Amino acid sequence: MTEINFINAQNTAIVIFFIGVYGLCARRNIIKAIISLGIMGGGAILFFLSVNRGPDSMPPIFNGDSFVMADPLPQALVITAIVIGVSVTAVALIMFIAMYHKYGTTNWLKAMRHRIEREDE
Amino acid sequence: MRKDVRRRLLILICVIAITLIVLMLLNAFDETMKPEAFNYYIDKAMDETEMPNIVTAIYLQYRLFDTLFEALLLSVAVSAVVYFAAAWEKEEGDIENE
Amino acid sequence: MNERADHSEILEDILLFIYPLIILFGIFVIVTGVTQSGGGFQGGAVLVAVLMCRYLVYPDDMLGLNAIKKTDKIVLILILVLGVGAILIGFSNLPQYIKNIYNMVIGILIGIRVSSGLSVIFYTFADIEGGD
Repeated sequence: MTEINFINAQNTAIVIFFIGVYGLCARRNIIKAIISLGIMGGGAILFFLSVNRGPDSMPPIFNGDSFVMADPLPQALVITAIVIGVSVTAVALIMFIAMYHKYGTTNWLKAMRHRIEREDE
Repeated sequence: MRKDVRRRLLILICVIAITLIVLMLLNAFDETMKPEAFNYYIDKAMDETEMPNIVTAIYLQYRLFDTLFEALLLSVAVSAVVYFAAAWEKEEGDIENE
Repeated sequence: MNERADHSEILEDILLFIYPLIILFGIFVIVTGVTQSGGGFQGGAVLVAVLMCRYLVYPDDMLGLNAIKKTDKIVLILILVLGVGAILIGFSNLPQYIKNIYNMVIGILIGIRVSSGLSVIFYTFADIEGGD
């Protein structure tokens, strides 16, 4: 049985990202679009974390021993990116609640038509 | 088929094609990054800052601006959420009132 | 019957047991961020779970929102002053014990900032959809 080398973190991250892209384009519900944005963020974060890492890398903490360390720089950048993703999701959800109470629908095409009709009055 | 089922099937085929193209392009080339920043951080982070945790040393001392602006961004998000919750009033033409 | 359905005793007993353990684990992750894995951002995310536990047990009784907002603003000003001051002073020429104090203090301040910011967002969402 030969080894399967193509299941590593980079290919998985690309597949997860494009699943999010499909979920963003396929339906007209706004909640599904917000969830798909979160999935795309997760895929991008996984791709960043797997840079410069072999199968036996350890966390980059000094113990006095000598071992192969993982790359500390993408991890420090990704910590900020996770908090930014959470903030964007929170603001998008509160805007959706305000829009739902004003137009009464969760479909962005119907809300756009209601808004155009109301401007014509 | 109905119109929207056909539209979704077309989008699915396009996204699968783009995924396969990107995967094949990524695995075809064997490039490696030059490990200059990696070597610098591992060799000198313990001497300049006395912190055994290199990740914390990076985002607290080498790249402090990112952390400061991220704290500001959290305050912008909190003020946006509090504003939308407090300033939402019902107008006369709202659909829920009809 | 509606009061019984809102207030479940199994949840209340288990969460009363776990509540101080979560607070202790969050403070541990923040304070030992210097030598082991962890740090301010990770510990702050653990501390938000404490407020969510309290919301699960008592959904009607959300106190302390003004204190959390005031803490939020004061800690933000302290972080900005400390960070900009550390850059302007010329940080690598200071002696070693000031660097150790600075690392610990700014780590704890970032943990308090993240936890209070996310809990204000959570409280605002719960206030809109709950109540009535």
